Amino acid sequence: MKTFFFTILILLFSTGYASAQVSVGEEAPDFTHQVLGESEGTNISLSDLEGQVVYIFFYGAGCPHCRTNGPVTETEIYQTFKDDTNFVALGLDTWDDPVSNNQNFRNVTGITYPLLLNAGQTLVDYYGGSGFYDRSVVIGADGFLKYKGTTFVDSDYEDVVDVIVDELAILSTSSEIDNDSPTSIRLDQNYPNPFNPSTTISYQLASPGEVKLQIFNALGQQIATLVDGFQASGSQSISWNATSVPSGIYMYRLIAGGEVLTKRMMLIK
Amino acid sequence: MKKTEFILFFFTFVIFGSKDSKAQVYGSNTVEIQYGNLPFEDKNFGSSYDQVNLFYDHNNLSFYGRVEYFLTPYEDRNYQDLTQKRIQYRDDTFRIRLGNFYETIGRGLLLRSYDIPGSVYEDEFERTRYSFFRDLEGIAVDATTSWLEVKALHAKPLFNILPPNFKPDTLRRPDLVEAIQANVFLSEKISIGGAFMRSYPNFSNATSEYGSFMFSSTPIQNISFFGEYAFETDAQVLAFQKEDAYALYLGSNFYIDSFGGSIEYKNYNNFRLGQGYNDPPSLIKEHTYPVLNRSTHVLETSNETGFQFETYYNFEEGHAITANFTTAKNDLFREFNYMEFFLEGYYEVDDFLSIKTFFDYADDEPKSEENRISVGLITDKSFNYEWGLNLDLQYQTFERSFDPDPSSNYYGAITFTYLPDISAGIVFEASTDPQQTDNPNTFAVETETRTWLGTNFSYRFSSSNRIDVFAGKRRGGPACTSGICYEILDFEGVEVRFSTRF
Repeated sequence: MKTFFFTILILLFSTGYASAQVSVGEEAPDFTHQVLGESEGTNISLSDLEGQVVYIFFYGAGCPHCRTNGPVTETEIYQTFKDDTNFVALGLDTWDDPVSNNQNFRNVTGITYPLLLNAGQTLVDYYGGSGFYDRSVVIGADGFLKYKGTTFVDSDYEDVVDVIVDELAILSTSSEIDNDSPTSIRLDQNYPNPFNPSTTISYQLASPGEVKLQIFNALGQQIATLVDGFQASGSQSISWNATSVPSGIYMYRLIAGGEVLTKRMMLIK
Repeated sequence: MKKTEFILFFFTFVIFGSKDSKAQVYGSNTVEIQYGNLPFEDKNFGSSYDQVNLFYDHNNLSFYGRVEYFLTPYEDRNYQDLTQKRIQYRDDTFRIRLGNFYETIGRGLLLRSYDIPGSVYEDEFERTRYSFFRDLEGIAVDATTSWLEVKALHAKPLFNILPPNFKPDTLRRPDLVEAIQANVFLSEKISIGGAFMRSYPNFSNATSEYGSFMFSSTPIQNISFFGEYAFETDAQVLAFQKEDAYALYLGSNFYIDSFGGSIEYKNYNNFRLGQGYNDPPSLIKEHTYPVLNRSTHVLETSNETGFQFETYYNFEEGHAITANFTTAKNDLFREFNYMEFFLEGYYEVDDFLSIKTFFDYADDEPKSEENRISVGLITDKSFNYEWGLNLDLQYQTFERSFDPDPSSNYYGAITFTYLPDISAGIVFEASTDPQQTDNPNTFAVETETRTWLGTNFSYRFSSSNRIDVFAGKRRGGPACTSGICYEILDFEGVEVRFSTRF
């Protein structure tokens, strides 16, 4: 009998795993996941969305309340901001369910923004555990976490909308000031626009430094990097040949001197 | 010294220190050893789960502790923990509990805790196994007289989606509730009551306050009425506005001779409290038949209205017939409707043979399952009151608007029993539902029919000891018990469970 109770006492020195998670104000962990409905290997990475405000709906395809709460992310969040080129919404399946379950989830919820598969580990990276699904997260254009939901998405969507509005306002203000200021970077509208199949993008740098010029499709996926390196100050221009991509709206983003500027262009074939 | 260590130390000290022969120590132990894996995974491995429940009663005092232990080759999944501990004092009218306990306020609209005995929960991502309960940790006091029942508590409900090895442990109890409830028995036939609860959700200093009124009445012997209305105190009472948080539940039972039934109504809005520590009555028929239990509609307390009507008739010869009709509507940012009709018949051919059959029709928008038809036939044959044979056949089919072909589920089981101690059986299941046939590890959608074949054996070798053995493939999916629904995983391998009471 004594042995039994001593065994229990020994069990008190329990083991456990420490949960790593990210808090608001910290850099958002990167992730790369397959896109539902796209060909195998079509991935979206958070790092590709640098310079955009990213909304994430962590869901479980088989989770009952995720199915009934999912529509709020579509109607109250995605539909509100979808026309803003600086905004991207993503759904991440944290139950690692099969493709068919996710297709069912899309049909039941009516969600039209991209859903990404097998994101259970990403939920753990953000929340420290796999039990925190049906949650909203907002990541700013600077790649830092701006909002991390603690309740189901139908309970805090108004707070989420407020945060996204604030984050998009910061971007908008930044772009306007930068374009008007003679001492900052400037990004011109591409020419010609619409175009087929090539167009020229011009920009101006007030000082030398690292420069990145990226092209994104309407899903927010990065499809090309035209410039990635050190450049001298002054006017620059570069041509983009879009022969290999389909017609549609594309965004080009200039990152330089700690600032981000984005503009839209249209390819018509 | 940690609080838990102190309590266990005290617990052990009392046991060794007691000279009172009237003291009583008793408990139970469940060991479950598995070797296998999820069917879509390659690598088999062994795991061992152990749960010890230990009670010590001494006059009006009782002590309780639950130790859980889980061991696999993967260190991050393993744990050994004192997952529950309690000290209780009780006399004829008064009880106080300190530590982990279970309590319900009203009918669960505001607060409900539970333990599902024998259940071992495993999350697909964490792959840690632990018993599935949602208790409260704190202090509770209650008193009962012939005309009054009062209870009060200050406690933190368990957020049981997180396993015991999740650290920091404090995150497993993010909500704090304080509640008081009083019920007055005006007569043997009528009782009325009220409750007040203050909630500090998710480590917040901000509070939400709720009130509740409840009643129960049996005006004549064969009819009773009962109900509860709960609401957030800053909402207008009984206004039922869309922005308000409220929950209304009403029900009635009745019978005339061999005929009887019940009717229940629900109207819940914005009433998921904290991380979900309340469980208003779901008013959904919870079936024991596997094909129907997996299809149980899960209550959505953000918004759900509906009713359930059930009626039965018991024939003199022992036959019985039961019918149930249920509807539910979720009016969120999209409307979801659920409807189910269920009919069950039981026919006793003679003392040695009985037949049970059921038919169920449902339209389940939240699951996107339309025209869902389920049927079953279960025969139970006894030979000389010792040997028995049970044959259970079930079938289910449904459509999804975006799937060209209907999906089907098949269930068949044959079980031999030698009363009262031995049973052995074979369970076969098959499914053409793409959500079952599709391999989560591939991008392609597999549609080939999937099958599960398993064998069960159980032997009770004394009144306190029992062994259960499973070998083969077992189908998982949603499982619902007493209004609590959770996901269980598929399993392929061998499982041995040894249960003992002492």
